[in-house]
Amino acid sequence: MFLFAFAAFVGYFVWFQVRESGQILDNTYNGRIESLEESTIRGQILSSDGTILAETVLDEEGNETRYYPYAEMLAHTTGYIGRGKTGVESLANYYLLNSHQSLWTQFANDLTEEKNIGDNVMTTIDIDLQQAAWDAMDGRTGAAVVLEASTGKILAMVSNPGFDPNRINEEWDELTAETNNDANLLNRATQGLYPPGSTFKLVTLLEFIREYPDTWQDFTYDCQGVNEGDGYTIRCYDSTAHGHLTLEEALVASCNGAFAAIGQMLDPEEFTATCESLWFNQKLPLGLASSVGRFSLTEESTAWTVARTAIGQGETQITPILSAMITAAIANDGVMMQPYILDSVWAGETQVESFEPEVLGTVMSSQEVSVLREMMRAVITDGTTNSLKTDLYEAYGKTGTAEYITGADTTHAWFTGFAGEGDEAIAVSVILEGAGTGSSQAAPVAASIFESYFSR
Amino acid sequence: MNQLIIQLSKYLFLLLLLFYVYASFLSARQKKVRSQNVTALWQLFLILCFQGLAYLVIYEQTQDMSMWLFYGAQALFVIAYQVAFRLLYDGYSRLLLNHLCMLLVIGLVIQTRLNAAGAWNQFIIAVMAAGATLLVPLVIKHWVRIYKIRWLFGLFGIVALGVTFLTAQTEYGAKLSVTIGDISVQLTEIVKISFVFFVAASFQKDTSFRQVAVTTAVAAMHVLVLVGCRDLGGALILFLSYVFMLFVATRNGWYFLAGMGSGAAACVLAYRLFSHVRVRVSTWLDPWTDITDSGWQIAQSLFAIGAGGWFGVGLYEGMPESVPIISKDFVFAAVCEEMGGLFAICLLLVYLSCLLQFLWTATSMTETFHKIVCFGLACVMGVQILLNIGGVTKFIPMTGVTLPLISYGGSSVLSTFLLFGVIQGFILMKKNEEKKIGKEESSEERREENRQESGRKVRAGRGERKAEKKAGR
Repeated sequence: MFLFAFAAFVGYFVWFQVRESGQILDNTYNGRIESLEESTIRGQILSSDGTILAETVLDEEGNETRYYPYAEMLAHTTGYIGRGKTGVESLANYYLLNSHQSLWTQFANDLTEEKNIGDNVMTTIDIDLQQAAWDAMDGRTGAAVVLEASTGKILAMVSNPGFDPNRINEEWDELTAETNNDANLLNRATQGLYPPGSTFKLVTLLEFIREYPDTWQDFTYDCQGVNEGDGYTIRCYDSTAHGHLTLEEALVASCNGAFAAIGQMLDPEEFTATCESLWFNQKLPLGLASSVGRFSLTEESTAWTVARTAIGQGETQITPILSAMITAAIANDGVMMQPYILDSVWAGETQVESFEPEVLGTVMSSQEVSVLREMMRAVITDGTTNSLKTDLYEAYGKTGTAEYITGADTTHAWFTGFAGEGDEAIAVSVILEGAGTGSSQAAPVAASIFESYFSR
Repeated sequence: MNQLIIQLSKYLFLLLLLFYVYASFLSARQKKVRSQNVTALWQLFLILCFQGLAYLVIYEQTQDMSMWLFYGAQALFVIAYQVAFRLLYDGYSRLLLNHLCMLLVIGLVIQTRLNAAGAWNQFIIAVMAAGATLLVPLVIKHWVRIYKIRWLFGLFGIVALGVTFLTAQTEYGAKLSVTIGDISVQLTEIVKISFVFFVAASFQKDTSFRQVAVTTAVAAMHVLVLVGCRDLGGALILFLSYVFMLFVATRNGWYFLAGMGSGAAACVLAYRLFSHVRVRVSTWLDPWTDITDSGWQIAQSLFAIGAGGWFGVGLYEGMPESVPIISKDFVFAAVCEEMGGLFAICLLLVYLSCLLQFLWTATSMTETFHKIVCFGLACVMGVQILLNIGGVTKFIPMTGVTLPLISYGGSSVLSTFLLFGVIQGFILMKKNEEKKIGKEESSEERREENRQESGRKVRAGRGERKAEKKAGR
């Protein structure tokens, strides 16, 4: 009996040392990590094809500096060290500082007081796609996220304005000065909260067909340019009168009046439940710093609030990555994947650990997906997003032009969409702050990303 | 050069302990007493090497000359203790004596590293405990009928625990020690042994249902007072040991099942009733969500163990002080961090070797009382070790017990010395019997006639006793 208990304990102990301790030790409350830095040369951060995104270089005197070859282009993804740690530098800190060199090498290093070489961390970043997204953004303020729909891999992530992680110490005061309103250090792709604008009509649409599974096809609306309902007034963009519309035509035309009317037909609690199943009002299981998307609607909400919420204005806020997650779920037959950026850990040529895709849940039925796909396809083929009309790939999507200062003319340009089938499918979300309309500004960025990906 | 010593030392520590453990299991397979003694001598040599190397590293790290004094005192003590046994006794288990010394030495090294002043205290108490218990084997060997005073054992247990319950100050949420003058004593440590004696003495008398019921009632009182003191670990040790002893004494599986069943029910009840039990369980299931408060200790302990890996980081190279109560309940985490996971497993093997020795002694004893005492003491120590290391590594919920001879604490050291002394006494007793038989056998040829006669006498004597028993009933 004792032998058995002892054997069980030893078994647990071995399991703990081999499997568990890696994840456990990487904790901000563990004071030891700092001391590891003194005995280990930080490992490299790599893209999915092994391109170096961050490495530690030694000068002749043995001084270490962290070098980021792509500087601003991947600033928010790699993050920085020196002023705290962010991005992958923070997320993978433990792996970068841990060494899986042979025991013999570690032993020899101990004796000679040489530092151990930390493991290298391979990310999911597709460096060519990142370059394409970066070029397409062209320095404009905003963010772009690309997810592989079937796995949740973050293939590219751009946030502007950025900073040069190589010069974080020199530029720190400037970046954090009170007079600096650019929020350079903020990763807009995961932390930026924006009104989703018309891209949210996809969610409203989902809720509508979910609540009216047999009758949604019968929906029609006569658009006069202004919808003066009971207690609210909603204008279409430029007050254009769209005329007689089916549901699909309403989405293609992005008719605010029609969706405000739909909003009045929805059950606020069920609408909230649907949004929460899509990870609004919840912390994303991301590892990287991220903000929580917001959605709120109750029985007490006024008709005005309901109308604005249905068209993605009002209290609703979303991060670009959450937008991409929802779109990717549509591309992945309703299954939402957990976005992730760490692919594997390597000691030289030997893989030490690899991270598998994880399912967050099935958030839409196949029927709902097929309706959404059909309509998102119509947005591209019948709408005004000329940049995405191509034979190279079949794009599906929705543009958005979000007001962020009530009554003002400045608008955020949104696009969220996907292209490709099955394992090939990628989802893209783009926001350009204060840039104008989604179709003229954001959609072309997505088009460049798709083109880069599908022209290989 | 210094760095070389320090870095090399952690591998040498492991190597020394590996050899030591190998010698332990080798000696168990050796048939001849002579070769066993040679092995034991090698072990002693390894202990002294370990001690010397440890204090060399400690000196290199602290540059404190007084460490050499401490080392000298300790080495002298180990040798003196061994010599004293050699002079006083014939036929004691050298293996067990070595284990006692090895565990004590490892404990003192770790305590020196954690808190040198505390280690001095621990050492002085160990010397006194060694002195006080030096004659215990002699007493045990000759006082064959110690079970006659079983109510004294029972009474001592209840009174000692009662006093603890009434007068002890609450520390770390439990009432553990009684303060007499400047000294605080954990009476519960001694009660563990008196409890085993009481139970064994009861079952020596007979194992009728009535006897079992009475003994169970007294045992339950022990356990309940401990629960009242919130000393969950102590309660669990006594409870489990009792159930095992009851089973071994009666060979009745139903008792065992009933004991385990009521134990499980009591655990559920305790979970419902006491918030501190719920906290223990929730931090065991998930220390991470409340890491800044209730999960802090176990999380820091896991950090320490994980940081140590297989080979440890080396003495003074880790951060064991980040774990609260590191020198007492969580000392195993410090061992794992600085000496390494493999070293810790070897340490467990030393304990295991002790327990096997206890159990082997139990099976070789002829009298029920002695069997059950040996077995009970093995249970007490085995359960205590498992509760401690299991709790520290998040294998099971924390129960707050010490690791014998490694953890800081005088009462625990004293009770462990006492425990080893009792076992040594039994081993001597058995050797004595064997010797008598041996003498009889050697004189067989010369006194053939006498033997037959005495044989008849013995048989007759037995018959008489049987008759007496029948009459008594």
